[in-house]
Amino acid sequence: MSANLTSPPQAANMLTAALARSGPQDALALAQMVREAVAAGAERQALHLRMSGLNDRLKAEHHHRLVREALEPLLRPTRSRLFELPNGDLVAVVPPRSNHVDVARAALDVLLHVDGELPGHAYTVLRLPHQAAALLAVVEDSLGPASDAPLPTPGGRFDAAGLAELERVLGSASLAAHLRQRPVCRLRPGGQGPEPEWQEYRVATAELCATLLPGIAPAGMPWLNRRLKRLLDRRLLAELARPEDIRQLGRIGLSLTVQGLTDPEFLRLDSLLGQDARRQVTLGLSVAELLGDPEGFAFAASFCRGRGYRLALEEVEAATLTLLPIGNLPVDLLKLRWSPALTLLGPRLTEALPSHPDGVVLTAVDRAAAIGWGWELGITLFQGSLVGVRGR
Amino acid sequence: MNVTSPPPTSALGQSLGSAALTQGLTHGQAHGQAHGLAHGLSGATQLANRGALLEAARRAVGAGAGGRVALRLAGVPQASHRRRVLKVLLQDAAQTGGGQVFETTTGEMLLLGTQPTAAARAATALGRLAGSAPLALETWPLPQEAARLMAWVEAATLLPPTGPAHTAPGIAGLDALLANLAPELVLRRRAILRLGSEMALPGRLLELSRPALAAELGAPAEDADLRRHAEDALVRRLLPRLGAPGPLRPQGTLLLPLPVDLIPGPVPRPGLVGVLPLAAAADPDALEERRTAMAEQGWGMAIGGLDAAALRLVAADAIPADWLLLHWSPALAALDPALAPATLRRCLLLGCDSPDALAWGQSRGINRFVGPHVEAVLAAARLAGCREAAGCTQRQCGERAAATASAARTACRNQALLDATLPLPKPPAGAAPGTAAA
Repeated sequence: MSANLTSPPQAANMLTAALARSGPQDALALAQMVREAVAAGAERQALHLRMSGLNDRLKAEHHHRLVREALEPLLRPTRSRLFELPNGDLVAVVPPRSNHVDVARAALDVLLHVDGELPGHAYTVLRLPHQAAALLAVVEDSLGPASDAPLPTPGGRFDAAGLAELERVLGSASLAAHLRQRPVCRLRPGGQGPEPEWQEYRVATAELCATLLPGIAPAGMPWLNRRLKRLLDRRLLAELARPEDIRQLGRIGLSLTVQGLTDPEFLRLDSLLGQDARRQVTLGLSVAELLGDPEGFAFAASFCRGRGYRLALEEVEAATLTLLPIGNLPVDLLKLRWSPALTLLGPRLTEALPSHPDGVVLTAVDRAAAIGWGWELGITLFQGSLVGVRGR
Repeated sequence: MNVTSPPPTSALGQSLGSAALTQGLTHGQAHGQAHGLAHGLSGATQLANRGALLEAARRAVGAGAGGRVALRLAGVPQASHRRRVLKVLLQDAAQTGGGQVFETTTGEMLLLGTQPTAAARAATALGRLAGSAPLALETWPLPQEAARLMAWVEAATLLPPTGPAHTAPGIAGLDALLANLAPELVLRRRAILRLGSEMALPGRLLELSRPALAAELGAPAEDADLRRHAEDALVRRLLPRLGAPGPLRPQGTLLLPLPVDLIPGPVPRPGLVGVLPLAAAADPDALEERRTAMAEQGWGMAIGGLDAAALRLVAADAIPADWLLLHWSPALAALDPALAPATLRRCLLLGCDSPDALAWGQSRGINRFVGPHVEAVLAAARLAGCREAAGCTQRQCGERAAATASAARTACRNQALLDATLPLPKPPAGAAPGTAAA
């Protein structure tokens, strides 16, 4: 497994590598500089000017020149640098506590006010190393959308007949080739590479369906899809509950449904795992499962935790914490889905999250900025394409 | 729940045969032997039969088996998944402390012949389970309570072994069946009663009747996911029909369930409120945007699925919906949720089956009520004011008012009254009040 883990460890390195492939030299240099500032704990100020957001009149040639002139005072200190990002945005990085920043801001405010623009939207001042994540996000955004290609979606419509056919075929098909492990990794700032803490098992559903029923995508029909997940979960549990393999499972994670936790297949696995082995297993239920059947969720949660499992609430979005205050939740950890919107929430989110650092896993980590942001909040458990491969 | 008082001890002999009992006492065999269903699922699927029960009872009260207990559990929920969990906890005790688990058709379980410490641990684990109804637990020390045990054995009808059902028959044809099913056959409209300075009937709530769905769809309706798939499909077909006059176009507001992923177009008529499942509120900011978008199309928005269990987890005050549908249960009164007055004013209390529900709601500032009790009160009021009511029962009147298919209403000779709003029209002077509930 570990041979497949992404390395080297520093999140910014991965971004650097990505940039080196795509070519924009300034963006590459800025990402490298951010990385060095974080590694050395060096303080810097960065002024990000959103040229991409300015209106057409300001983009005219002479305005461009005026904006650059306004930034000039910033660049007087020898350690200052100006970066031009692929989308035209400008980032000036200057030593800390430089009064040149205030001078430049005043000049920009005058310049941008001329046009009735709100200057606050046109530029942002960020501090390094504290706000490294936000600055890395700026670099990444300048490169355009992340390049994880969506799965090709076949044209056929998923319907009850398709589900019946899948269920029939699945009765005899082996799932072994479609089992996947996704590690949840420990990644500390300045530490070693990502260390897998536990492996999550799942069935590669889209791939499996493409093999068994070419031309049909099990999307768009939420309840048929959920029934398919329940069936695949039962098959996965049956694969795991082989008495001869059970001792080698180690620390694992399973993402199930409220009903799945009381299915005979789960209870069989449960009976094979001893009390100690159950403590090594993290069971996940999604927010949709909780909201779809709160009473069933509470019942399943009390059963699982009483048996010694750790229970994770999955697919938590930042906004969900408004609806589900963590003080009410009978779970041991939250799996918080990364999105750039999280960086905007700041202290409000810190208060809403569990105080215990291992109470949160940041998932869907596909950008260096996610790891940087997680570190700012003391999160060191991550899952996603940047910290582990999706294959076996 | 069928907890019968133990029959007299003399019944013992008939069930066990006194010879068998004596034999057990004499041989005192098998004490301390773990008869726990040590193989998990294999144990669950080969439920011990009656012979095994008799054998286990004989061993448990046998001479050498002193110090064992039987743990009896009554009030086991009907839902099979809950039963399985309870059984796992009992089987776990059987693995460590010996004994065997039996399950009856009347919602009881018996852990027979285990050590007292294992029984106590199991009792604690069972007590910690979250659930609506508390479980009744009894521990019988053996052989002191042999008579009670034997009485239980005598009365018990054991559940037959069941294997896990993997596929429900009829899935393949489900969509075709749904495409040809008139939504009116499975839709019911429930009256919304407003209590305040005066009673009013501000609208109705459309819901899909589960018994009717089961009757129309067969086996697939027993699966939660297939049922919700069917409900979504039927509602999509219903939407274009809402503008036409008829039972689906009552006076006032009409609340109807919407699929979680559906963004409805412009309302076909004013006064429609879409009820979204609680999962739609996972992102309150997104829900607020959705509420605004629906309002622009003329729709109101309600969130359903709130009950006592949900309110333990969810901050309902944070849900930006026009209406919140809250399901009544005694557990709700016991929880006494701390909700803001503004939230309570947005609540409709559903499933009101007694005056208690209305009283609790009113005491908390809720003033809109739906449920069997409301239906019964309204049916009684209609019958009292209907000159065509001869021969009608209150139940018939309630069913006809709830029906949305015209065929289900034809037996009523005063259909205007079925659709009337409060205050109900007064009977013409001199007319004798109709016969009330039979």
